Amino acid sequence: MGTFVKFENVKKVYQMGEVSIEALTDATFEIEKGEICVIVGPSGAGKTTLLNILGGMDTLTSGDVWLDGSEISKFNQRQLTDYRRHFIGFVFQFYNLVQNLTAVENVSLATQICKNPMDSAEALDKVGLSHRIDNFPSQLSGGEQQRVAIARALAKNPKLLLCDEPTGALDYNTGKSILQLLQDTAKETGMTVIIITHNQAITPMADRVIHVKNGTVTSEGINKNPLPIAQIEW
Amino acid sequence: MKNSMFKSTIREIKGSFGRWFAILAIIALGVGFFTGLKVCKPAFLETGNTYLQEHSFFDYQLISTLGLEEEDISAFSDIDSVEVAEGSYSADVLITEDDSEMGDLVTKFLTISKNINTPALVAGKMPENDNECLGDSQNFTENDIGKHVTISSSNKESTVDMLTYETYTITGIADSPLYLNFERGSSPIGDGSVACFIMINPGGFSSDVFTEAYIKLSQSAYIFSDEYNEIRKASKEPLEQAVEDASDRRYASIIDEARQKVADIESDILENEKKLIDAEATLATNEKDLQDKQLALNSGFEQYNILVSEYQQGRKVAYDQLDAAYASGSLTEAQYNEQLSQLNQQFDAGWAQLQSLKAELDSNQAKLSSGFEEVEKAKADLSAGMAELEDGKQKLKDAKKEINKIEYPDSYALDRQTNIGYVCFSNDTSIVEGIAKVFPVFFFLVAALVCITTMSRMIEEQRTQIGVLKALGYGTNQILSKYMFYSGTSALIGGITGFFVGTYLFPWVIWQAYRMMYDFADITFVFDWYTGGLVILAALVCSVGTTLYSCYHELAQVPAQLIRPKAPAAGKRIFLERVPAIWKRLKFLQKVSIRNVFRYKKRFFMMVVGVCGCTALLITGFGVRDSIKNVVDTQYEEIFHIDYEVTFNHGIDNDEQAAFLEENDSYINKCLFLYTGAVDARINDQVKSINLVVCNNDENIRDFVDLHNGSEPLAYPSKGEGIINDNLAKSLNLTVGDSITVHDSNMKPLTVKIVGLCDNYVYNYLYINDQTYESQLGDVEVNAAYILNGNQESKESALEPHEVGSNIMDSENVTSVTVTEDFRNRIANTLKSLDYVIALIIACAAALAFIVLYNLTNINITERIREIATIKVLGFYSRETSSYVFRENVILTAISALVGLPLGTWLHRFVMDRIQVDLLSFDVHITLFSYMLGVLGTFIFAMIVNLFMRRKIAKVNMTESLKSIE
Repeated sequence: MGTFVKFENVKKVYQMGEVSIEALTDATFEIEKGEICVIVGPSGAGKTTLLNILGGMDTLTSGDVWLDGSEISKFNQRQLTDYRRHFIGFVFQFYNLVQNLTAVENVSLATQICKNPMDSAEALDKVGLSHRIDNFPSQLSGGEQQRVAIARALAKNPKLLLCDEPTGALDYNTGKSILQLLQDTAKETGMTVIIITHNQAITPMADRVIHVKNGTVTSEGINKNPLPIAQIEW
Repeated sequence: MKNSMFKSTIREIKGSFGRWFAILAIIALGVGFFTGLKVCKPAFLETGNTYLQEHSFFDYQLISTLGLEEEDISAFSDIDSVEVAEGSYSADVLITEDDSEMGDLVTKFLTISKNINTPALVAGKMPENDNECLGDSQNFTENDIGKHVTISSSNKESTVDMLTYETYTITGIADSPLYLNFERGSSPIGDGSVACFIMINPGGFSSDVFTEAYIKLSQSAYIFSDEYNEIRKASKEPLEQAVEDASDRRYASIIDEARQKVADIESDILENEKKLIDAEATLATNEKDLQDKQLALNSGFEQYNILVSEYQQGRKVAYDQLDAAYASGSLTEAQYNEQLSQLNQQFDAGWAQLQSLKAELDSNQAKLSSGFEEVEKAKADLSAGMAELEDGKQKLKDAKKEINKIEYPDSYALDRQTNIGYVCFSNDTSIVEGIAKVFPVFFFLVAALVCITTMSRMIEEQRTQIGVLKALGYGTNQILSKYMFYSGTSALIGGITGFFVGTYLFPWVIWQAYRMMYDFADITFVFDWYTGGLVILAALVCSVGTTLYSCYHELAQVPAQLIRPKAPAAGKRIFLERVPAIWKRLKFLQKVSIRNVFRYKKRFFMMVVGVCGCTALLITGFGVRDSIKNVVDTQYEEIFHIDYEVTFNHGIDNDEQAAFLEENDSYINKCLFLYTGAVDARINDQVKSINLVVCNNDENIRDFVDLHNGSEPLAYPSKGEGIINDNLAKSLNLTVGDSITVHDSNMKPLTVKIVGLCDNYVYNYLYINDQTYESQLGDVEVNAAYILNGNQESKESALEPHEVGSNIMDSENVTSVTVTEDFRNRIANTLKSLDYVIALIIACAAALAFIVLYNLTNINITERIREIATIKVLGFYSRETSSYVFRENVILTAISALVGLPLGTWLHRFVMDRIQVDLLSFDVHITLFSYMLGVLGTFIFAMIVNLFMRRKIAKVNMTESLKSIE
């Protein structure tokens, strides 16, 4: 297994009028293929900026970002869109389901546009929602909605699954089951999964843990033996 | 309002300027449309009133067929209700212009008067001299100033006598209040209709009497007002009486004068007769005397002859005696010589005496001969005198007859209702008023819908903020006032803007179209503050009301509820999904869009109403153009198959007709000789001017004029019958079987029974046959010809129509030639001013579409910003992203355009029903192309909005997807 994601001296400065805010300073880290990586840090540490850059949603001020051999920091808008379209699966904190679409339709929204999608119903089956495929988001619980969101991300067969606080809006047990789902998925498919969270407690589930603070990477550790979610309590 | 609250409101407006502006714009559009259309009639009336007042339009026109004198005019002035009375001359005159190709022009010569019906100078200056004139702006342009109009030689002598000069120089171009519209009235000369007027100073006329008097009443009131009608009616009787009195006076004085003249002549004749008789007697005496003298002289000659023979005898005897005496020798030679000389002396003296007697006799004879000559001459003179006397007697007889022939004059007191321009103006100004009734309702509906959707969306967005404000202790009213201020300011500013723009723009643009007919002045703008205020108030109520309605629900909740995010509207299945036949065929993203379209009823309704309004407006606009633009073409393609219409300067007989045909043989395929003239129908305060066509039933008029009603052909009317065009019948409320009475330019009536209503688009027509005309109006003179230009392969047929026209013009007796093609081109040019109105309609339609589409898209984007950010994150290309949003717009636009088609058809019919013009009856239809343009236009507007909103979508930040739900 080689290096899959590589950040080298990444710097991001937001220009807000006359004030410039440095969101990332000199962030450097690597993630290997197939790993579950948890990026953890307090609010305002630069996690979201990292995610934005990694997800091809934002550009950087200086430094290099590599993903699977491509230097995405050099990509233009169009290439970034392609990159998001084909390589990345997103799971949002607030699920971001389209309210006017049923579960299966929400998944289809993603599969419509990529090359080798999974069948939408199959994707929902995988997250255990085969009985709710024709329900609208408003008829689903939060956990179910997040499962739909994960199904939507997985259905694209992405190389990288990016999860932004996937449990942030969920209660304890539901959150746990979602994390379990992510862990299982990564194991089964060998997909690289990056989970961004402020919750230190879940770090044991990861293969790799990256601590972020004040816009820079403070430490990078590898868990030889990640714990199953069921064994983690917080 | 607290200071920070106020700041927050201002920032709110700045931050969501598009939304605030959308409310402003739709209110401006609604208010503008309403006040604009509403103010048209008052503005047009004001324009007319100002113009007519400025140029002292008459209140009454008094006419006596024998003319009016100074004395009559002052009698009119003395009437209590009269402010000014002014005598005036007018005459129908044929003129030729400098370098004119098209021959004589029928003109109305009018007097430039100081006080009534004063000309409105368009260019140049007023005539100073009597041989200068003003030209009608309808026929002359600024370039004609300095040119001349010449009295044509085709005029009747009595016409030429009316005018002082043969040529008048144009010093200026003017309009006259007597002619508000293009109509110049009918005339007994030329082709029967007056082409233009010429105004000259009174000195340019050389008439003893005025042809009419114009009256200005001392009371005046707004044109067409009830008040004015009262004034008009009240003063009618004294004026009628006065002009009748004047006629009486004039009649009496003419009769008296004529009788006096006859009496004078009679006494002259008697005197002459007496003189002649005396002369005859003297002559006879003289002759007798001469004859006596001749007799005496003759006897003198006889006596002389006797004396001469006695002398010769005596002399012979005396000399013989002497010779004998000498021969006998009784006398010596000396004695003989002495006696011989004595004898010679004696007889010489005797001869001399005889000669003098002869001379005396001869001279007497000469005297007598000249006496006889004189007598002969006197005799000839006498008989000539006698003949003259007989002549004189005959003339006297004639003159006496003539007196009996002088007809009692007709007198008229004509009010403004007899002025065609004035009457038409009163009808035509109401056109827009009718239209104004339906549009505003529609615009207000759209405005209300826009306000409701916008404000309810805004309140929804600001739920949390409202909650916070409530939690901070702000009262409901304070929070409400923020949103009321937001919608109130936009409605107020929009309303005021709309009021002013509408007040200026609409009357101006529509007036441009009116100018096709009423080109007398620039529009006078009128501000209807009262209506404006009401409409703005209504707009305010509408926007603030909808704001209150939207706020009401939210504000009823407690802050805790408000601060929490509102549950998003639940997804729903739509009806179409139950029709699997269609639903299954749709692509996934199409399904998504369709479901979104039907998600929000209010928005759907707003969009459909707004955008179908846009389509309907466009279709109406283009349809109006369709219905009007081709009217003239249709007239000449469907009804009048005439290439040239020729008028002759007098009634031409068969020989002249044959000569005309021969001369123009190469241009003529078929030719119809007939009588055409202009008549007026006056029914219930309406005056319609009508072209009268008189044709023999034997002639094949069908080749030239295709009289038909729909698909049913109409037979040419026989005696006592007439066919009129159906538009005329409609406006006079007549139908088949009724009878119609019209008057010619001499006010002679003609009554016929209507046996058919024919299709017709341009002008009004009455068709009768020659017998009908003869039985009521007198002999028919052939004064016109319709000509078909065949497609002969001769050289001449390659000529341009107007060249052929001017060639025909050169023929004998021809006064004018109307070339159909030229006429069609001219009308087409005139109708270009319609494009202003079409442009206005398109602009309004566009504004409507823009505002509604912009507003809806704006709401969609702000409301679904997370969704858009999410699909961007999912990797939708920018084009896919925008079409994800805009596909809904396209579907909505398509639905709306579909609804707009029947609505547009209805609206078009509604508008056309209200545009009733005397000149034209419209071929009400909408072409397929116009429908297509209407739909296409709507889509183009939608695309422009989409293009514009694309930028906004592009700006949606993907990080929005990460934010928590507010």
